[in-house]
Amino acid sequence: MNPALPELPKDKNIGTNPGNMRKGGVNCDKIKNQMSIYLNGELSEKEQKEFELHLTDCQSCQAELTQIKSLYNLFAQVKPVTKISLPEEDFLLQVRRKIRNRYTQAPSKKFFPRLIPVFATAALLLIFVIGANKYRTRQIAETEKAVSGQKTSIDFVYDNLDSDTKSLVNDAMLDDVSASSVKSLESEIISNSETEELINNFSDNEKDDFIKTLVNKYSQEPNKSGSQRTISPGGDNA
Amino acid sequence: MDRTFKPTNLEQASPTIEVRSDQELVREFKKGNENGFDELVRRYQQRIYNLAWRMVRNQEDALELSQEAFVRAYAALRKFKEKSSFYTWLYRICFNLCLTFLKKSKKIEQRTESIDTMTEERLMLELDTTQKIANQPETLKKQQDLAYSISNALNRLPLQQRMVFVMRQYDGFDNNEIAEMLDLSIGGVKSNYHHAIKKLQILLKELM
Repeated sequence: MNPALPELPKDKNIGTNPGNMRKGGVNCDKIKNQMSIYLNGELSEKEQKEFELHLTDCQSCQAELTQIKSLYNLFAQVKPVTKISLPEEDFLLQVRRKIRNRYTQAPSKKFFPRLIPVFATAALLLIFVIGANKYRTRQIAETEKAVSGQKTSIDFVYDNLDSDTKSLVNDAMLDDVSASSVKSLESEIISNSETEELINNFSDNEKDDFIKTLVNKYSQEPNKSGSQRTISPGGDNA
Repeated sequence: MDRTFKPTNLEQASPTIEVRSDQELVREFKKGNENGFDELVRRYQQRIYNLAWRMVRNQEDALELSQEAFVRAYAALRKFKEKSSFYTWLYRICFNLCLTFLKKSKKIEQRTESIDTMTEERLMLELDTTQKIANQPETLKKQQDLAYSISNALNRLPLQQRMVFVMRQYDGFDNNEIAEMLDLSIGGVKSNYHHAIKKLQILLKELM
């Protein structure tokens, strides 16, 4: 059906014919190597002039050019086999479906990068809040520890209170100790010469804590049957 | 290097419809008009499918790969810098996808062919029906033989020469685009094309 194709020479041996020189010093081999470039219109202006000048004087190169032109004509009669048999719109629909599946059904992938700053800020805030909370908890624990460490001082202060002040301490629990009661108690304690020095070394907060601890500890003693209440730092207790 | 779309005889647009260039469609898409992309798919689906089919020689894989090329193009189109034409860019996406596919499938099959064989693109040609063809059975038979002979001749060329030739002759790329896609110098492209022509001249001498 098809004649056997001839053997191919090596690339380096294609189109070479040493010593084949023409007028103007332009080699036929050079011209033959430029045939396809010439037909593709890719020679520079100068090269094209040289090429065409050489052709007017060289029958061999003219024949070669004619042969390559007919080769180009052969190529123009055929085209690569087309195998697609898919309707145009089906192809597009399938592409669209794949795009939708990949890029719209998983918005988190696309969306996530935009939320990174929001997540980062939220994470920082969370760390700050947790840190602050821990710091506060530790401070309260330290204060409580400091206050509880004053037990001997509390006992000492209580023991040195006069009977009126003691009753004030004892009654404080019964009266739902108010800020004014605490202040009153504080002034009583401070005015006690035996405890004044100790109390005056406290800061205001420490004084408050001290007095509340004192009240909490002793207010229930005369009234064992009464329910125990705890005075929270900061004054009035609901 | 911008390539303006020129409808082929098979893809003739209606004269009443204004044909927008690829560049215009790409820019419309970048502005948010998805229809621009759809038009690009319609415009190049056949050529991109052909490329995939020529490389993988399997209709199902070719369809999958050519569609994947468009999906990848869609994802990257907004970042496309338009240094090359859209078609060159798309062709390269599909070419690389097919190459990766071939390498992977050969790896899975544990074949021992060289890379050259793995990327073998056995070209099949058919008569271009847009050309004037005589109706006589004898002439038709001769022309079918011609298509067969050219196919055989092309398939005897080294891969790179054949690819350069086909991209230039049938896929409509210029030397710059081929150089970019095949990672060759312009001189390398010209040289490959020249050698392809010289060999085809020898192989098809009887037909000229």
